[in-house]
Amino acid sequence: MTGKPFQIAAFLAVAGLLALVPLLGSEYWLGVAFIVAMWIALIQSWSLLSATTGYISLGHAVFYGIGAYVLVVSLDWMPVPYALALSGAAAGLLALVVGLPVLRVKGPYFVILTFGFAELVKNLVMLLETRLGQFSRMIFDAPSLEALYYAMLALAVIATALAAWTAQSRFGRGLAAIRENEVAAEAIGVPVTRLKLFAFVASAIIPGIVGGLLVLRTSYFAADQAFDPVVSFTIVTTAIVGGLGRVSGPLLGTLFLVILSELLWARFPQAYMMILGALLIVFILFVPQGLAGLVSKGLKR
Amino acid sequence: MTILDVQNVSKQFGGLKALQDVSFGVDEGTIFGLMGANGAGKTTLFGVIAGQIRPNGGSISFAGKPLAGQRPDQICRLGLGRTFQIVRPFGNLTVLDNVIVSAMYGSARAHRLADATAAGRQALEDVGLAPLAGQLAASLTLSNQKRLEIARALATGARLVLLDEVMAGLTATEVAGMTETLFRLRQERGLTILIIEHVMGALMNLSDRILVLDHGVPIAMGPPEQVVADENVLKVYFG
Repeated sequence: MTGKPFQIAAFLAVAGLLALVPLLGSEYWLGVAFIVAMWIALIQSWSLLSATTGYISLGHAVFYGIGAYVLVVSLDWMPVPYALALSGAAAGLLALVVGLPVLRVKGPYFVILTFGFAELVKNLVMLLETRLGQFSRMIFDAPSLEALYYAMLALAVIATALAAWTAQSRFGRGLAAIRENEVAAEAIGVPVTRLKLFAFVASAIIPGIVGGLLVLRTSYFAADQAFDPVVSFTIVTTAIVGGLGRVSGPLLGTLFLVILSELLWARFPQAYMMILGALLIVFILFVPQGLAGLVSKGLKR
Repeated sequence: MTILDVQNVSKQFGGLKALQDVSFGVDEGTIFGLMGANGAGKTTLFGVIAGQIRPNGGSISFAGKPLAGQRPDQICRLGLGRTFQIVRPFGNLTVLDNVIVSAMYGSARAHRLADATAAGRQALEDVGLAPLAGQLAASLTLSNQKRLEIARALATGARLVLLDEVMAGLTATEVAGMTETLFRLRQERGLTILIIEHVMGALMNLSDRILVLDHGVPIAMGPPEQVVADENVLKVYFG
């Protein structure tokens, strides 16, 4: 418990530093910081369900994609903040509807089901867009990158705070019991179905808003990109590399990922997925606690 | 007062009749033993009472409330706790955290961490696990994991606990210690206990009444000395 004030101070310092990035006046660094905040928001949200309960979602791109789609469509009728709220609500609603059937299966079946579901929605949206005669959509007069960045940073901070709160709350303890043994959890009074569903919905809302913000940033929507499964893979890989079950895990994972992709993505785009795969194997085999585990071990020493 | 009332409960798995027309009542503050060979349906009966298994027929009420259609977590919150014969510890949590979750979600409803911790520590104290509170549950020996099963059921705040072979694998001294613990819990907390045990001597010692099942059929019920003398029981156990 002695480490707690230190941890909070460290998180606040990171958030404070990130908040200062626009002052640099560099479009490039602001873009990088936007991506950093984006992955933190996505991975913390994903962790809310997957790291706590062990239900590994390999389809979180669906929430991000639906958020992007809802935003680009609703922007014709309403101002940006409302459209973003609608993106989050749509993602949450989608999670609520599919959660009940999907959360009945466990382990590898859950992983495959979430992945398949995300691909299904992607193809449905692509079909719908084709029928509507839309192959892609453009956004004109989007807010400035600086405004979008602050919104994204706020999501990252909220997602991180939510993860930190969950870790020590009654809710989080119930989720941990579900992860450890679902039958025993239910036998000691944990309403497992309700808790899982709640975590699933909570883990979907922020990714929905993130999707909306990203579309505003790129000013361009195409279904196959918005629902790109690589987003799902990256979330899972980064979460594992960073370390599951620690609030600092997604932060360290994101830092690592962004540095890696800034170094590699530009130069060897084909190698990106291969390197991601290799990293995943190395970390699962040799560093199961992730970077966060390494750091906390180092601090103890 | 009858706290648990089981009426004509039956359960079939495919063609196998696991329970046939089982009826019995357990009085509050008593210890009720369930006896029977492997496959007699004892654990199935626990599953039916605690809500993990849906019966094909019959009815069960706990403290006057019918349990039909209730989920295990709802039944637990009514004040009915159970242990599992094949232990199910929350392995990556500490022993203390195992019981804290119990106290937070069970009928104790200790939503605040301080209250849940106090209730959890009490339960660990009751079963003699207090010195191991900080260890990971997965690192415990099997007999200690069985104790943890009991502690977790107690920490829920249960008025009735179903104990499924919690003494299997314990040494004679440990069995004596556990027997004493269960008597003490009944005395101090007014706890009602429904217990399955293969350790015959322990069951005879503990129980106020015993029900004997054979292939899902109740063949005898009564005080221990009456049950051991029962013709049907002797036939089943000694041929």
